Amino acid sequence: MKCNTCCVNVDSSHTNCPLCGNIVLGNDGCQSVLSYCKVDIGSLKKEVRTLKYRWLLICIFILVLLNFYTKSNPNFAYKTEIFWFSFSIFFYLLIKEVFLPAFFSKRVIWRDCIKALMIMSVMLVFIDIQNSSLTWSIAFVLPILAGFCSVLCFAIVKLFEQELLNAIFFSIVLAVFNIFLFFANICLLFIFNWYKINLTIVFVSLCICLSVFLYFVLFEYSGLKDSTEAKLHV
Amino acid sequence: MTSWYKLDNVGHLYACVANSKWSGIFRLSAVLQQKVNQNILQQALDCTMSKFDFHNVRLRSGIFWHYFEPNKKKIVVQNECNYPCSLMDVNRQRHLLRVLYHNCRISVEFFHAICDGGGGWLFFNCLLHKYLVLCGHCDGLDDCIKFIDYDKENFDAFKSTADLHFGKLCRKTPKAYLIDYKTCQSDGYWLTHGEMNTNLLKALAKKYSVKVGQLLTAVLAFGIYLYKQDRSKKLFAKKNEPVVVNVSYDLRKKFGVSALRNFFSYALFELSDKKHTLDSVIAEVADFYKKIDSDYLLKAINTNVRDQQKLFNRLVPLCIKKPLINYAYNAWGEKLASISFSNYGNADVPACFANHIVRLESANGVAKVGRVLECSSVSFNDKTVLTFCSKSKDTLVERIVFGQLVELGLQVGVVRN
Ligand SMILES: [Zn+2]
Repeated sequence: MKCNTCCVNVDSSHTNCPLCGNIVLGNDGCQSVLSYCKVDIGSLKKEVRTLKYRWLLICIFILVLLNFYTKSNPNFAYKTEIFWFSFSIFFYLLIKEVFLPAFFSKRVIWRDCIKALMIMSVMLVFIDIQNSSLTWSIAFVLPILAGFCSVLCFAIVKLFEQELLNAIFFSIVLAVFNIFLFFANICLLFIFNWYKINLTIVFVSLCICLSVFLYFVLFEYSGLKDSTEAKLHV
Repeated sequence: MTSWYKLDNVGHLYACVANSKWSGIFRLSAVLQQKVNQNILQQALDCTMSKFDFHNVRLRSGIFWHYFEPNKKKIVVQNECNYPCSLMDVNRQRHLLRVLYHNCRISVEFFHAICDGGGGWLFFNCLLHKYLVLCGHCDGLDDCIKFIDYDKENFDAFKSTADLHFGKLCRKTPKAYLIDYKTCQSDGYWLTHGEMNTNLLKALAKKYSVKVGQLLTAVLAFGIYLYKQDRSKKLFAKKNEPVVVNVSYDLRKKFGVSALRNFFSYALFELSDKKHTLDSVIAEVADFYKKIDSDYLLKAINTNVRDQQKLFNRLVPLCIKKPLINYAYNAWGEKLASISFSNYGNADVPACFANHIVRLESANGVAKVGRVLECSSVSFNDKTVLTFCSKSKDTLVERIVFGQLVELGLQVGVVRN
């Protein structure tokens, strides 16, 4: 049957015109000789998701081990708290592997930003090691910096496309994401230093960390991510 | 059986730039009148593969170059359940081609390092013919496999045709206007087929006194030109880059070689920076095609071969060469053209195909970076199928191009995966 807008004959397997999306009257959508198979996107996405989380969990496991090793070993040269590395790795992985690909694939500006951030955090850590004191400020500086950079870059990318509503919407999503990361970072710090501080704080931190983790899982599985992706695509 | 095969010029490039997320793939399909029988297709494939040793290989890396190693595992036909032209992880010792079927469609997807479209058709013809023979639709008399002198045609056609004294080509390489489709990683690849009547298309081309391929190139270039104008209303839109169509050339007919491996070249058609109508674009395209004669193509081959024979390229180990080639490819390789177009023309197939095959389709897999849209066309049985392969769900360019063809008075039948 013909699409009234595009004036092309649409194969009977399409109920909507593949070019403009308008409904084609008279097409029943049943399989024709020319029709393709319907791809089960769910299973494809699940595969990718499983892979992502597997890597994430492996990394977290390794860094927790490293933390305990460095803390329990008094001969460790600089008394380095690998936690700082762990933070940057955790953050980097989370952004790069879980969130970025779907949102901003092929956005060079983003990749560059993250690379710069990585280099910067490693440098900061090394400066701190040289001073043989790991200041708490990094715990605040890094996430704030990261949050600021990401929101800014994102806003620039979106504004260049002149889609103001999208820009605002995603800036908010990103800001929330960064605030969560910020909290998670401080809480992780508390948890890793559990032997030094009040156990109540550790417990609260643990709860916050768990809720952050829950947020990520919900975001990934509830369909919110898909809908945001879809929205970005319009 | 040889223990290893050398890659040709183009093959080296494709082997270097392929990674676990992307590999250069093209796809040939045939829509049959009846449902495909898996067992018969497997039999036909086994039979065909026994002749096409060179296609049953896996990619290995040596010290200086990649090479092919014969693969002992046989290729199994698969029911298509993924997106067309989806990833083929060539570095993990898989087969470099796959045979898919779904409903009435048989498709073969090739890794570009083993052969190009022309060579692919030779293989696909044999497979289809064998399948139809086994189904009892064709007699085995005009068996295509017999016509192919395998040993003679399995050679590096670039090297044998190159005449290095003849000079080489200096291509200007400005960055082309890139279609700003939005892409999503989780999206697959999308094929949009538009079917037209070949005779009407020929008549139309005659009216403009050009060939069908030239007319289609012009319509494509004009379509992107219109798209660019539509987008240029937006702030920060790219306005200075020219619309460029990368036209692929099958060199087999020009040089009278029937190679099974890669033997193609390309030329870049650049649309001048002024106001255009379809007529003016067609005139420019006709001028452009006049420039591409045997001399031009021979120079293109020479450029290709000479680069490979440079001492630097031969002596530097692969582990150093690969990142360099990758970097260059990502930076320039596919940003030189807004769209690529390969016209296979009239498919050269046995006569018995006409009664059992509805139509033939061809598709170039999407580019690695930059370019989001690829286009190709093939004619068979009075039907020309123009296929777009895209990374994105957006369809504006396709809409404009098919809209232009409809405006010219053609009936276009559209199907998308
Ligand atoms: Zn339509």
